[in-house]
Amino acid sequence: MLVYVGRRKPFSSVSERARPPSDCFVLWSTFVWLYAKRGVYALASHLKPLNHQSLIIPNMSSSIQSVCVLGAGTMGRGIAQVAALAGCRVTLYDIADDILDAALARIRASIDKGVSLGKTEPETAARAKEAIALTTDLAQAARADLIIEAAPEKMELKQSIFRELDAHAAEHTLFASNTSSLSITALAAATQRPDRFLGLHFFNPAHIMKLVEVIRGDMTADETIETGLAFARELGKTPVLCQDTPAFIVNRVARPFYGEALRMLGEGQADVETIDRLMESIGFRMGPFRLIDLIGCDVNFAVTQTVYEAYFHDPKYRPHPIQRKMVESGRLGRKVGIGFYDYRDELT
Amino acid sequence: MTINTLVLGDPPFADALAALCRKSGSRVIVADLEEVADGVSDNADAYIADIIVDCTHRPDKIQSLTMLEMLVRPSALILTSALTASVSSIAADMGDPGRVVGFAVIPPLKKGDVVEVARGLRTSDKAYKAALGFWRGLGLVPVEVGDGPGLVRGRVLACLVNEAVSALHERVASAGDIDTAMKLGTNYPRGPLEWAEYLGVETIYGVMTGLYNEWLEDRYRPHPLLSRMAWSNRNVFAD
Repeated sequence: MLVYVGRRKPFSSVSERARPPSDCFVLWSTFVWLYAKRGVYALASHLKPLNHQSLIIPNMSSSIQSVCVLGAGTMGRGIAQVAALAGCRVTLYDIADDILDAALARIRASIDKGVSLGKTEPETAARAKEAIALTTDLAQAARADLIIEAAPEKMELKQSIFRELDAHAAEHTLFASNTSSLSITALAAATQRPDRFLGLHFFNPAHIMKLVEVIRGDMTADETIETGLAFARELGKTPVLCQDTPAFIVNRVARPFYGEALRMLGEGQADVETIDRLMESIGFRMGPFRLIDLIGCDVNFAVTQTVYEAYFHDPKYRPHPIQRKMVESGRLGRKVGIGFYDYRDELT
Repeated sequence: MTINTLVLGDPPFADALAALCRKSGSRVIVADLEEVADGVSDNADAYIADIIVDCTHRPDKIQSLTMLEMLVRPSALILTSALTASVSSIAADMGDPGRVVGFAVIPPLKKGDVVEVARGLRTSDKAYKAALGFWRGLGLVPVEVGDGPGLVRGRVLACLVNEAVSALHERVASAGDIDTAMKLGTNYPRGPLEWAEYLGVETIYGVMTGLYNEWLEDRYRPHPLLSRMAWSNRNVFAD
């Protein structure tokens, strides 16, 4: 064996070892190699799609008839409402009856609002309201074609829920998490069905926002993804396919919108109103500070910190001291009447 | 008296600005900065210009503009796009840095749209006032911001694009799905990759390079895919 130490092979030894028999042979063998390579690629592309996009089969029916939503918080309620309106039988699970009763009342009120706004047919609304059942029993919750978990963002909590569900759920039941920050692959590892496990990331408010990030865990099967995409379409949503990476698409790609605005504010390059006005001048519906106030400075800061931690302190995701100051001083945005702007006049 | 305006740069920036200048009644010549500076094209345009509107975003723009500054009348006002470098850095080696005022526009442009205006460390009050007058004369609304590559909008947009490109390169999602997600998930008017295709990948790369050169911070590193596309003159993101 020849070992070359140095930046390039010495020319003389190359020619000694592998002097081509003739130019003609080199030309001929190159063509053979190129054609062979093309053939292999063509064959490979038939065997396994090179691009995950090619897996998407539009307008396929999802075969999801019954859905269980775990967690009756804001996201859980919204998802349950959307699924019920799309004609699914929905079971809403949470730990206490009073939480569930209050959640159902809010879902029904929200559905009625849709009717009064003319966005929902009265018959559809009536059917949807009847389609939602409540339970505090995980074993009962497990009886569904699809289980969507919308519990608090804690890995251990979510894993323990999925572990227990796994024991009760039917073989065909698909598991999905609405997590915005945890790894789908890691959550799936708590179950015996990582191939039937996916992320379905809805956006708040779930009954209005059209986007669903369909997240493929490392072990998720193609059929599971196809069903997830079809199900999202049946809910009237637009799904995007996303690999299991920290913060997925939106929460990651949106970071600079806030991060650069905060830095420019900190540098004194422009003030809050100017930055918002400038971004709104090119079509953004809300400038970064108006948007942070709407989201809540605390929520925005928490997401920033989560992404920063998830990428092991990559400096491009670094939170800004202004965010902490806003949170520590209680100026959380619209919900408390003051954030980067003062809304107290609007509230009274 | 007719005002002679020399507009330097590429579409969509040069086109949008030249159209507005013509509407305001000035005589407009659109030329290539490097060609004028190197004397490849007729320098006469530069001699007679009262106002130079430079919206080039190429890597060697500072050298070319510094050369050009020697050719133009001493009284001429120089307005330069600060998308890819700060006004101070663009004017640094010029004979009269006082007459250089920075701006940034995001096409398409129509009357009533906003133009960001920034002064460099050595910009004179007289030139600054003249610049504000010029922009108002075009029907644009000048908004004063601090100096820095990209100014406000270019900096935010370029960093959004850079992040989207890194997600694309890591195969987090397809180009189309990244744009769809940003439009539907956060109500962006265009997806970040669509922005890049519209403003030009080279321009976005220029903003990132400018930010990186001035801040020397990792957060502004142009993503290698963005760099490669700019270098190879590729302006379309493949899925």
